[in-house]
Amino acid sequence: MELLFDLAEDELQIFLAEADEHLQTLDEGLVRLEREGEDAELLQAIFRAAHTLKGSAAMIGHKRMTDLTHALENVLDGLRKNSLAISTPLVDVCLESLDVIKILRNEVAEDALSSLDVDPLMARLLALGEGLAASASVPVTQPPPPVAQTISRNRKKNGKPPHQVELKTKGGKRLRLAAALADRGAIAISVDIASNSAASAARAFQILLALQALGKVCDFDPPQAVIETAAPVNHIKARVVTSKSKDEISKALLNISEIDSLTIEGETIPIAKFVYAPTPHSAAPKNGNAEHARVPLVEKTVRTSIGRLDNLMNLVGELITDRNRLFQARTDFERRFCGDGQVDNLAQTIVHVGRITDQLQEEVMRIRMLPIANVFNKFPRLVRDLSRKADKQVELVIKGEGTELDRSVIEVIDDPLIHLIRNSVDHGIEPLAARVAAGKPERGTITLTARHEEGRIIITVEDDGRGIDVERVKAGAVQKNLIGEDDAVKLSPEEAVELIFLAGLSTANKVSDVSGRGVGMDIVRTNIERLNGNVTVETWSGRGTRFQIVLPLTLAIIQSLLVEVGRGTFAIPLATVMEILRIPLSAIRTVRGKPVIKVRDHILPLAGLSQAFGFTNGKASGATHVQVVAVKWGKLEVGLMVDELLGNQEVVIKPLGVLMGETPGVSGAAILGDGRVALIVDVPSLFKMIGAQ
Amino acid sequence: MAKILIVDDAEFLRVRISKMLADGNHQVIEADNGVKAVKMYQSNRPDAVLMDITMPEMDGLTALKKICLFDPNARVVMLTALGQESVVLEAIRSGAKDFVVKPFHPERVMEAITKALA
Repeated sequence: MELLFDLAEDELQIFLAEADEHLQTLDEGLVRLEREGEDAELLQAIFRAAHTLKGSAAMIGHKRMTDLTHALENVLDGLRKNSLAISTPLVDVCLESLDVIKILRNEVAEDALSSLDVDPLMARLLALGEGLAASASVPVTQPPPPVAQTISRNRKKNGKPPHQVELKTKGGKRLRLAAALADRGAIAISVDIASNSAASAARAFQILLALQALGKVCDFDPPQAVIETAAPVNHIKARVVTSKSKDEISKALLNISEIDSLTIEGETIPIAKFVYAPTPHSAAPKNGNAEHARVPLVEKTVRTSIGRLDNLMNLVGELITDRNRLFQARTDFERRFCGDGQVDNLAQTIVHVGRITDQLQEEVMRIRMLPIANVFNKFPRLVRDLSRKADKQVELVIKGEGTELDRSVIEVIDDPLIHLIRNSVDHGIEPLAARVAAGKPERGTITLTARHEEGRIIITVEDDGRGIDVERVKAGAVQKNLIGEDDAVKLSPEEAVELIFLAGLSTANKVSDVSGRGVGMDIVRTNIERLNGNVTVETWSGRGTRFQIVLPLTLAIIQSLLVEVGRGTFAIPLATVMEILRIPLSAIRTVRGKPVIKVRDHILPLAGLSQAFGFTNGKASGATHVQVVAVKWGKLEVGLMVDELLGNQEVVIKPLGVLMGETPGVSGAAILGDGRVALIVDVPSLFKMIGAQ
Repeated sequence: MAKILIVDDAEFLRVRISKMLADGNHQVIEADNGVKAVKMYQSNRPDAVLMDITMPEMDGLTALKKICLFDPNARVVMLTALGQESVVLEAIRSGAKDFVVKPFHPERVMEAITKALA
């Protein structure tokens, strides 16, 4: 299949991966440059990124990308050489070009041209580059560099330039001999250098060196000093005294590329054109080797596909399930054949396999982990753009960007974070005047942090803005019939603020074109819950707002608490379990018709897991006590009453499959060690079911 | 059949060039910056080097000089971009045998390598 650009299938991924790296370097670098000012090393890195990107774009024949990147490179070169100064308008244009280059990059990925016209942007970039060119020194002419060794052969002892020869006569008088006399026996050589040579001066220099190696150069035009200015040279006239034959001279000179014509002593030497005959790729492999002889760079890292990692994860998951079964089998065997030597052997092996499985799981998880910096690094640019549009001054502080998460989580987490940051800039941070009036620093601050905590990741997005107006939120929810007025009145401030997660709520007076109608919050919550995570909010009037997102370290495998309810076994994600209690039935009180229990200093509402799922009550009567598992989600905590606790187990989450579809209260299933199936409790969904009862 | 060292920080270009060289039945080794280039030259003694100019850690011109110091007969061909005339000049002066300008065609690369190896 013919691709639009000169790019083979196997080269496409490499091209895109490197292009994306360079674009990211440029993006981050420009924002940093604007904030922190001149930094020679940073400028060099950004310049190199643009330069290399241009080179690759040129190699695949993408003219618009090449031209645009080249124009950007020139601006960066100007910054690098201090002929241009960093300014916000300059950074604006540069960032805009990056956005356009990204679109052009997508053309390569999709093998389809877009209708994008890059000319207006090119013009602006060129204007930037020329803007201060007048103050820069004339670019091409440079002072002649220090004399190199090869030139010394050209110079006579008295230091006079080569085309003038001096001889000392007996009387010490220096005679200047006519050039013709000195040239007796010299061979006249004339060379035309290709007019489209990118560095014809270098070719001229090569010719000079070649002639010097052949004999004595008594005449060379243009003179070396002119060549060393690197200005274009089209034509060389030289005279050289040598004992070499014409053949040897022409062979030496024609070894230099980009020579259009060569004349020696008036005779035009034919120039054989280099013939390039690539072997067709279907030709028989050389040396019996199917692959051509490329030995790739010995790298300290390995690139692999995400699909492979997913496969690996699945296989490890299967292994864990089998490990659980083996453990169960071992227990059974040991019970039945106590003391049998072979069983002991088997038991030991099973324990060992279990250990190895654990380690394998850890390693695979680590391979799949990426630092959250991969997500965070796009945000400085985002905050810059948003705050400019909103005409506010906002600074982004990032902490814990080295915290690692599973790839699958990283892929999904940036959308919710973008929403939260947008809201902070648009609604949280006050305009300059308001901040000053409130005695706050002119610049609003958004702090983004990430950290690990007991098998979970905690991400917070916090701003020092005006906080969420809880009363307005309540009023808005009531007005939109999302909550009854009496219920609204009864809500505590912490509960009321959670209303922002309701679909259909927006307290923005008008639609802001950056963040839309504020329909984001319910989607933010849904998306995070889909990851088995949760999001909560705290706000302080006039001081700021903090969102906290909790995510599991990995999506596929969880630690769970197994419980029995009626005839069913359920797995409750251990991360949601706060504590386990065994309480006497007599201690259960009723509040507003719902059972509760007093635990230390707070009230814990109770719910029977059986009833929550609508099972007919299978609990044996006559029991005096009941097992309660206190489960927490966000700010809500509920004590789930179960029949029996079966212990902890690490299980692999298996989706229920399309036939079952979305089942309220259940997020998946797991195969236990004894072969039974346990349903995994979807805690937020379960809480909703309980609340509705 | 010669051993050729390709030095360029863009993997994409290294892949491209090595394909071109494979047609000439050459063996290819790679480095992605000047520091590694010098090390690889010393330990592998390639027959020729294709050296990019703009690279992190150490640029091509500096690497060229170090290699020529180590081996005055080194056959290095510079890979340059437009607008690097003075650097190319300096490179030729410092011992580079030839240069090819990006974006380059396979013919130009093969021509440069063939001439360098002659």
